[in-house]
Amino acid sequence: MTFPVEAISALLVPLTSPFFCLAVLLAASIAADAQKPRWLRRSVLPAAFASAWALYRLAADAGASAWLARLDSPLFPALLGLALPAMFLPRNRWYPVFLLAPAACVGLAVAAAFRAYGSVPEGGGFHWLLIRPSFLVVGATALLVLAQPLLPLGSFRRLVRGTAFLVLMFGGFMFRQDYADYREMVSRRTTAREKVLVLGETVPSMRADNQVVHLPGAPCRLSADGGYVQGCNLELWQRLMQVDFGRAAAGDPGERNVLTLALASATVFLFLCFVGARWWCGWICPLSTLGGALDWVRRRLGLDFLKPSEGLKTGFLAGGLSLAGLGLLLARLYPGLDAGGRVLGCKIPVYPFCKLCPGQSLCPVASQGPQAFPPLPGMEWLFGFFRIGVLVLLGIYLFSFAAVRRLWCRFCPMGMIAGLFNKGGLLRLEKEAGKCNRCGVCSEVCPMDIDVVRAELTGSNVSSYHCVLCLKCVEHCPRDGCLGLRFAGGRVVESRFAAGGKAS
Amino acid sequence: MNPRGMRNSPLLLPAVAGLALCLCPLSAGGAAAAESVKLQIELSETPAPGAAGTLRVTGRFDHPRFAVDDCRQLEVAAGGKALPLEIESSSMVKEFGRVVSVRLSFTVERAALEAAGGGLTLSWGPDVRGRTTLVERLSDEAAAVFTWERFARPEGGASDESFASLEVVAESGAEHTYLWYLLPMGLLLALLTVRKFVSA
Repeated sequence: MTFPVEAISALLVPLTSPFFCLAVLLAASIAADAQKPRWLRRSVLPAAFASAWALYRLAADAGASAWLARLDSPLFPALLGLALPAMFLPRNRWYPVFLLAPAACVGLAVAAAFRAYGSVPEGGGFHWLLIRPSFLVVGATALLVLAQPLLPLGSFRRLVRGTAFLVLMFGGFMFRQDYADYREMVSRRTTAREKVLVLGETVPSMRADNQVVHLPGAPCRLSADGGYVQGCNLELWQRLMQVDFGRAAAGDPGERNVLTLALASATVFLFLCFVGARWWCGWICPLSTLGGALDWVRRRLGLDFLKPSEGLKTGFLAGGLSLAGLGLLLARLYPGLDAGGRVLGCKIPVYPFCKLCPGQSLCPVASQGPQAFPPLPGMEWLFGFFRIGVLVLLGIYLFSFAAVRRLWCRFCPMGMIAGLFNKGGLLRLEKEAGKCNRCGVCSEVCPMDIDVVRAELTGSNVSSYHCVLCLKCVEHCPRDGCLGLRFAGGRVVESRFAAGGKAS
Repeated sequence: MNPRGMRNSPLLLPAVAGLALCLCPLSAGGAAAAESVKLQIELSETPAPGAAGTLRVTGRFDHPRFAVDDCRQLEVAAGGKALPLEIESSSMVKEFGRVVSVRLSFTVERAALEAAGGGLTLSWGPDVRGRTTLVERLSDEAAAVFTWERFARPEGGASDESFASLEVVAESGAEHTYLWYLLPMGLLLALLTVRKFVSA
């Protein structure tokens, strides 16, 4: 019984690699290009699939298995096996046949969860959902694929954001791998000590073996009992800056281990940026979801928002870059700590930029309430503010988020990096200028106050650096087919006002 | 022993290990424990086949409750037998006059490890007297490809602490392989640049 499982695992493991995913996505972009010869379009996808699989196996057999394994993630098979076909397959009468695949994935995830419940002893009490991370990632993706044909674009975006918020903010305690894992988490959670920040447990459960996936969003690792991934990528860059390169060069195994993990995570991060650019900001980032909720409250109250001028937007960008630069610079001082933990007589935070990021205040409070923070300043100042300080800071953030749409997205260094991929990555916002009636609704609804989409009258590529690809412009555009999103060469969604904004 | 997705490599070198006691960044808080504290380090993975002989373990130890007046008040034992411990003097971090973080290194025979049921015990406190030697710099004879994730938990069940993950890296090519990640990163950035020009 063991053999087939191992054989199937060995067969499928290349699908968890970003290299395999990249090869298939690039091949898909060639296959979707109508200007390419027909024979090439037909053969490139199977050829890429076979060659990428063979290369992965060869590299693994040649001794690079551990090197490759650090990059693996269940995100990639979910993207390739579920999301990609859902985006590319024609919506004809055969499409429901494809939906059997996500339905089967949901069934498998449910079966796995039931199996995990089998290990729960009598009287085990409440323990949320016991499910392995890979089943959760694939199962959640499958559910979204199943729901997508039923929902308009706006509702589908809200569903995706809600799902991501749930997993990234609360996954640490709601979705544990098994009962023993859950009990361990509870024992840590319920015996927290007074005056100590209750943020310790940060199991990076996106993978089962403690490897790390840094999403291009801001799921703060300091969410109580762990966000579902270990930290935003700015934490990763700060950790990278803290490496004592002298020790690493001298062969220090600890420093090299950190360097290896950080570089592997950075590789996956860049790959995810290449695939999704700032789509992660618009659809996945929990901070932006909270900002969106505040925006909704503001609209309900009938309050107007502040629209920053172009000069102020540039100032925001410069401010964000400066803060990120300062944070990284301070992190670089870390190897120079003296025996008292000081540099030039001053203590520095472990993750300096995190002191300013609203994520570190907001995520723990959202997931565990104000008691996540100690009541008074103490030795743990390095890792967070005290409760009153956090609440005051949080109040300022919430007011700012409500007053200016997506304020933090203008400062966020993660968004600044991901924005570089808005042009040149696999996603592209495009416009058929001939269909545009210059109504300007795209500019009105844009939470980032981008005017490029409205102003573009000749070209088709309207992607811009600040765009978070929330697709509100596509959703509200009154001209069918005028605006759309292209992914890996194929148009995956376009404006369908007549159909009530339903994603195509 | 619980395999956790480790992949064995033909590059495995048994005699070399690096340790990183990477604790969650909690401060010591009420760490001034008057009594000795012991941590049972449980092996959670099976050592790779062929990994025999001596393991050299090196890394930083900064458990949230760890705070001692003297770095000699720290002991690592296998099967109740204290192991000679090297502590890097320049690596010590002190909070309010107490040592809260050190880089340490020790050597353990695989046979002793197995005789001890695969467990190492880390103890600290005022009553502990470890076989400690202060050195200016720890030897860096380690090479580097497999990682053991292990967890340290206090004796006697439930913990009010974060778990320590103990990573042992023993890979013959680690001095080079981390640099290989720069290759796909460079490839992605090159691809991005080319596509930017094409889309422009």
